[in-house]
Amino acid sequence: MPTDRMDEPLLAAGGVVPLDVAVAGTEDEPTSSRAALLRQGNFVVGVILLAIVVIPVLLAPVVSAVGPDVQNPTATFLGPSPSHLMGTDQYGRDIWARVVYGGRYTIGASIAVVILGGIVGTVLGLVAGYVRGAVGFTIMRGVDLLLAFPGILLALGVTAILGPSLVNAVIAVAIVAVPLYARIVEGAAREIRNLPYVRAARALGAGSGHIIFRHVLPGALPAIVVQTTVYLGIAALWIASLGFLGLGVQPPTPEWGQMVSDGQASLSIAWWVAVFPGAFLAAFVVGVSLVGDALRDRLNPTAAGT
Amino acid sequence: MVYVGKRLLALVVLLIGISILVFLMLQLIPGSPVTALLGQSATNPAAVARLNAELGLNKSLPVQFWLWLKGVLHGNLGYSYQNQQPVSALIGQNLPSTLELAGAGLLISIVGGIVLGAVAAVRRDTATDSVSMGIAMTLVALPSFWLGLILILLFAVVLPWFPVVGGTSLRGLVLPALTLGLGLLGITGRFVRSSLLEAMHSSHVVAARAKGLNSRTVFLKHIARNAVLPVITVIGLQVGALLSGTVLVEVVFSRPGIGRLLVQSILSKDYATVQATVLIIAAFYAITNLVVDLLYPLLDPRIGGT
Repeated sequence: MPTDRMDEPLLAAGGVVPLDVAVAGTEDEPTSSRAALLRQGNFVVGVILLAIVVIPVLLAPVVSAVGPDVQNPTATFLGPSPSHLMGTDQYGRDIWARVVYGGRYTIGASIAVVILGGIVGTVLGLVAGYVRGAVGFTIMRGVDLLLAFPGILLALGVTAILGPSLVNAVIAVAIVAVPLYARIVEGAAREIRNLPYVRAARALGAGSGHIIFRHVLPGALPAIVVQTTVYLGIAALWIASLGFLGLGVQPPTPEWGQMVSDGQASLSIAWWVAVFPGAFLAAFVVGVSLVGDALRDRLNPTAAGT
Repeated sequence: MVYVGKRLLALVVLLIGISILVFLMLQLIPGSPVTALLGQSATNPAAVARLNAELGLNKSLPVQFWLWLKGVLHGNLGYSYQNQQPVSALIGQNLPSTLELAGAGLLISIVGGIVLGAVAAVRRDTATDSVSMGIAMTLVALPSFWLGLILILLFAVVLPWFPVVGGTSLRGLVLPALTLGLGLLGITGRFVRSSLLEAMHSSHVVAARAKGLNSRTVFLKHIARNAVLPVITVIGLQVGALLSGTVLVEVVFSRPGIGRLLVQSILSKDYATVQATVLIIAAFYAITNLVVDLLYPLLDPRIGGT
């Protein structure tokens, strides 16, 4: 058992540096209070954006008088007005209603993605990092192989096998998330397994399962939380992208990406059909990344500075 | 030389892994591979028998893989029954347009990212800095298909400067390249900023200033040179995002290309084309990553020299 890892800094970079952490860079000098204030400003903007998007989506039946699928042949392609905040589409459906109900599919699917991908990736990462040996080696080579595909390509490949649907889109995007989680958790687990308190637990006769769940997992948790906030935005983007490409949610179910694609045909006569769902998606993704950034600075002070 | 050899070996292993996964894709689709490949033509017994023999379906899986790989290495990527032509011909028709788009997008991302990042670094912790980084983050998070649509709306519908459908002309390239480049520009910008800041505050730069070098020499010889390496890394990492981006951008602008070919073949269940495009894009991605790895020792003699 290697003991020479003991003097390595805890979670220095979690084994691998995810792109966003790498992007944030590591500036070793103390940041000024002004910079801290600007960062706090970003966090507040993020929270406001999320509130604007998430509250109407949660309260969809309250904020919208009509359902998302109610057609009205006498009210097609109406521009935004007090009675139709975001106008209507070619079937006279209310875009505001479709946007607030549609968010449930896009955001709900993204949450499903981070839960599914997060759990599978975390378990694989814990096993690979703690047990190591042939099992760990095999897991990590599989992870490397999956990472060799650009994310959307992997998602498209999985969709090609499973066929286009909302559930399959969730599975496809979750499969892209698995190696990202596995790598980060594996790095954390590898460092934590040799810390004195874990070795003490082992010396006291604690079983592997107990050590993994009581000692290693809590230590890896900050990295998992940061990864989840970062990936939630990416997941929403990809779920919507698959929807836009016609490979995710199928019409007439409203989903933001699919709605943008729906509205593209009538862009020159009714811009609102495509623009509003995309704007809500954009606000959600930007909001999540601003909040995620602030959270990363809080939980991982070495990456602060941007 | 050892460094180069190791990298090349890793690439070969990775390419073998990628091709195994892509080969298995067809096995994972429900039903027989012959039915999947032939699609509508599966009712023709002669075609079924011929393809059965060609794929060696009565032989073991490793033998089938070997036959398939041998074909691929000889440029035989299969036959698209939907398009009534060899897949290699389809790819040949679509690849130049994708490379053109990716190249133009990368150029916009590099030039724009360097400008944005340098401005932010020089004006560190000021409003200019935080606005630049706010723009960078927003660009990263914006859904590219929606950004493309907004650009079409503004610069092709409202102001008729560019064609709505991106043809193969140079004018038709502007909006798609801008859509692709703007998304990546944010990542480059953030990275340029942090690596410039790191280089600016390192001790050799302080020493160079102390001995009285003018700021121009200090910037070019001591700051910029050290900031180049991480920027090259991130540009290398962007190749994946670039390829993923072309898929969506080509669909938004109805532009011919590998990405749109992939989406269309998934929708029409043209599995031979799906397999080949996934293989080509993944191999291209792996090879560019190798090129980036090989560039390191040239830019920084400390890497790979010993």
